[in-house]
Parts: sequence; structure tokens; C-alpha cells
Amino acid sequence: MSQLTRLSQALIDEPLAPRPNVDELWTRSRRRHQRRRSATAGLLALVVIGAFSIVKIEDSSPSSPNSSKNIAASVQLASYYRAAGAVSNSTFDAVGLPSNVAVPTKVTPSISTVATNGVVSYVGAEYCPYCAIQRWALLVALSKFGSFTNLDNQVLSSSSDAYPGLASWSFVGAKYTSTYFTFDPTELSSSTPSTNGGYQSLEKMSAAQQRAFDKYNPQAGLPFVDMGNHYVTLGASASPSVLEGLTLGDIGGDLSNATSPVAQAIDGTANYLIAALCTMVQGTTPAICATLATHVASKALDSGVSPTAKNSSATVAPTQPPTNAPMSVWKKWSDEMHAFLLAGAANFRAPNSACTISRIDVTGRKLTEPLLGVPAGVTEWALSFTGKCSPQNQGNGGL
Amino acid sequence: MESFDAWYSREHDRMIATLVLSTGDVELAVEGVDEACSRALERWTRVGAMESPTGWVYRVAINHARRVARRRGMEHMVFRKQTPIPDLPGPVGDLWELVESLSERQRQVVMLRHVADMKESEIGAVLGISRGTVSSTLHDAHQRLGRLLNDDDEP
Repeated sequence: MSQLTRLSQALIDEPLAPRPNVDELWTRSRRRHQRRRSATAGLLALVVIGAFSIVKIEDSSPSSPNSSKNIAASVQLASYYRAAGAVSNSTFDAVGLPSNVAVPTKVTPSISTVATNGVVSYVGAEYCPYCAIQRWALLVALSKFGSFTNLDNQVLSSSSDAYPGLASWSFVGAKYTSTYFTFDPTELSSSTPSTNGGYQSLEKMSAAQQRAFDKYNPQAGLPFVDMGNHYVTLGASASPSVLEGLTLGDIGGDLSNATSPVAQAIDGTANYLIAALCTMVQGTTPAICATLATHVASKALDSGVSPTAKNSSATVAPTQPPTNAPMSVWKKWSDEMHAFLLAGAANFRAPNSACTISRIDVTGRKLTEPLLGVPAGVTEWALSFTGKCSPQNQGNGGL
Repeated sequence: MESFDAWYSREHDRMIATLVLSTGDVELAVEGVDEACSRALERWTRVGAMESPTGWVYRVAINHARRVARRRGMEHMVFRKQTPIPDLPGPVGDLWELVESLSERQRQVVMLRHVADMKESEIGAVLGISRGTVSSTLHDAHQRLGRLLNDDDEP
């Protein structure tokens, strides 16, 4: 025990201030909520007056039906969180759907997950670097449909994991208000190591959230985002590397710079999330659901393919040219066939669950003589598989 | 899960002492701790289930105290209002004289370690800094304050 510990014990034994009783704490809590409501209402009035004045002065300036509500509701957030809510529709359009951002997965609602229909679920952990970037994208997207408070629990992702020490915050204690849906975040662990080698646990999933987590995320990876049991994201939608070495202020500042890697990753992910959230809206849809970026993202959600993904056109086999076509046409066909087979190989899954594929190769061979209508000199491509099936399945059709 | 009442009656006075010695201001410390406890009470089902409810409350209390201090600074600037000089009673005043020379961060780390009796990893979580930073901050503070912080059983 240090001397300081001993000396300070006197301050604990003879407290410097009386301890309020629990009723007094509840009273304090009620007063806080009243103050918050009054401040929001006052600010809303100011914003409405301000907006009215601006409209009077500049009739030509464009108006946004949600802006006053969003500004009023986000005043309790630090500047970097406000920056997330302030990303403009033109920035979303300029960012679009970068090829390095994953498309959310479409899922089918089931009776077992009915309790989370209409709920946006997030399951993550404070130590998890992938959660750090997904939180940002969620904040950007959800801010277009409602408002957050109590996002002041700043955290750093684990210092011993991949992408160590990313600046983020925790959803613990955060509150989200929206007329469109409920947001249910759960941070399973802190970033504080526990004695058993993991991290100290924080929150537990609700039973309903756990059911959706188990159903749509069998690998139990983090972060998991479930948008009303229509679309889910498993893991980070973009690489957390863009956050390395940046402070919360840096990240917030970059969100409105469409060409920055941060905006490409976070706003790009948010474009998909917004499109998915728009499918949950009942009644009048907010303006954000009518932007170009949301429209394009909605189509990508339906198809499950990013419109900017490399080899995106390779999902359809190219049509073989006529035998007498010029060599340049055959060369183009060969390149397209190569891309098609690469895409097919990348997405291949063995139809027989008893079989595993250990390797797939796409190999090319320059024809020395015409073959099946393809002239000599053209490179022909083929897929080859290496794998095995469990013994009881051998002879039953293999792969 | 422990009841709020049990946790509150055990931790309150220690939290006040920790914050008073971190900020040098009884009023600020009481405001921070009472606000944080009221927020913890409101969401006790969640906070109480955490590994360290006390850590969460310290974090909220420190952040709130900082906000109040900033607001006071603003009032001082705008209204030329005098910020009262901390007048710490009895033993706390003597202790404050000893630790006043530390930086704010060093004081927070030292008080969370030696008064709140938290582990370095917990302190890191409370202040949002890495465990390594906690260790080096403590080391610097130990260098500065010497025997006051050294454990009795150390050579």
C-alpha cells in the first residue's frame, strides 16, 4: 500500500461530501431529461427561425426537410460525430459504391427472428478493429434516419490485434431516436484484456438479437449488423486500414471529402447501409432514400454484386465470335473468358457438402491449331479443381 | 448482478476522494460523481452487468467534470466571472499540495491507481488510453513524487 493510499483513506472514511440518496439521483436524472428536452426545443426553434430567415434572404438556396431536425438533435454530440451526420447527399453521390466495399448480404426473414423485424441490430466489441470502422459507417447511415445521444465513450481498438489502436467509440450507453426503426447495439467485450487471455465482457445480446445472430451469422464473426432481417453485414464492409493513425477528429473531417480513403470506405459502406435501411421504412420515405447513390446501391443489394467490383461484367460468359472474326475480337473474347472463369472460381462452392476444394486454377493454353471454332493463336482458358470428398460419398457424383 | 444500492454505498465516497484529488476541486468532483451515478442508476441493468461498473462511472464522471470545467472557463471568459480558487479542507488540502505539481493526466492516473485502487488495464479503459501509456505515466509520476507513491514493500 502506498502512502498516498493510506493518506487518502481518511477522505474515504470521512467523506468530503454527503452521499445523495437514490431518490435524489432519480430527481437529478429527471431534471437532466427536462433540460435536454428544453434545450432541444429551444434550439429547434432557433434553427427554424434561422432557416426561415435564410430562406427569406436567399430564395434560391436549396432546402432539406430533415436538416433542422438533424442539426437540433445532434448538438449534444462532439464535432466529429456531428461530422458523420453532416455528410451531404452530393458527397454520398460522389463516393458512390467503391469496388473495395462489400455488398450487404440479403437474408430471408423467418418466424424465429420475427422479434427483430423493424430493428437494426449491431453486435460488436470495443477491442475489435473491424467494429471500429463499421461503427462509423453505421453512424453515418443511421444519422440520416434519426439522431444519437451519449456517444461520448471513446475507445481504442485492441493494441495487440490487427490494425491496433484504431480511434473509435463505444455504443455502450448510446441512445438513438428514429421514427423509422429501433437501433439495438450490443458491445460484447471491452478493449481491456481479462485475466483469462480474452477481453473483459461488457454486454449480452437480448434473446431476440441472439436468435438473429445465430441464424444469419453462423461463423459468429464480429461485427454483425442486421437490418430488419432483410440485409446483414458480416465483418467490416471495408478495410479498417484507412483509420490507422487517425484521430476521431481526422476521421470526422475526412468524411465529407469524397476522394479521401476514409470517405471512400465509410461513406461507401454507408451508401449500402442507407439503401438497406430504406427497405425498412414504412410510410413516407426520407429524402435520403431518393438520392442517386441510394438508388444504385438498392440495385446492387438486389443483385448482390457491386456495380464497380472488378470483373463485374464477368458474371455472364462471353459469346463466342464467328470463326472469321478478326484476331482483335478473339483476343477480347479470350480476355473476357479469362475474367469470367476467374470470377466463377472465386465464387465457387462445392455443391456437395461432403466435398472440400483445396485449390482452383484457371489455366491458359495458346491454341496451335483451330479447335471447336476457335482459331489458332487464341488463348483458351480452363478451370481445374483439386479437392477431396469423404469416403462414403465417393462414386456419388463427386463435386 | 450486484444491486445498485449496494454498489453505490460502497463506491461513492472513494469516487469522490479520487476525483477531488484529480481535479483539486470538491464542487467539480461532487458534480461529476453525482451525475455519473445518476446516469448509472438510470441504466443499471446494462452498467451493472459490465465487468467494471465502477470503471464506467469513473469515465462518465471524468468526462462530465471536464465539460463543467470547460463551461466554467467559458463563463469566466464571457462574463468575467471569477473562478473560485480551490479551497480544500484539512488533509485533502495537504495531499493536494503534494500532487498539484503533476500534470492533469498524471494526477488522474495516479489517483485511479492509488486511491480508486484500479488495475492499469482498467485505468486505460477509463481514460481511453493504452495500458502502456498508463504504465509510463505512472512511472513518470513515481519519479516525481518518489516515496509518496512507492509501495511499502518495495525496496
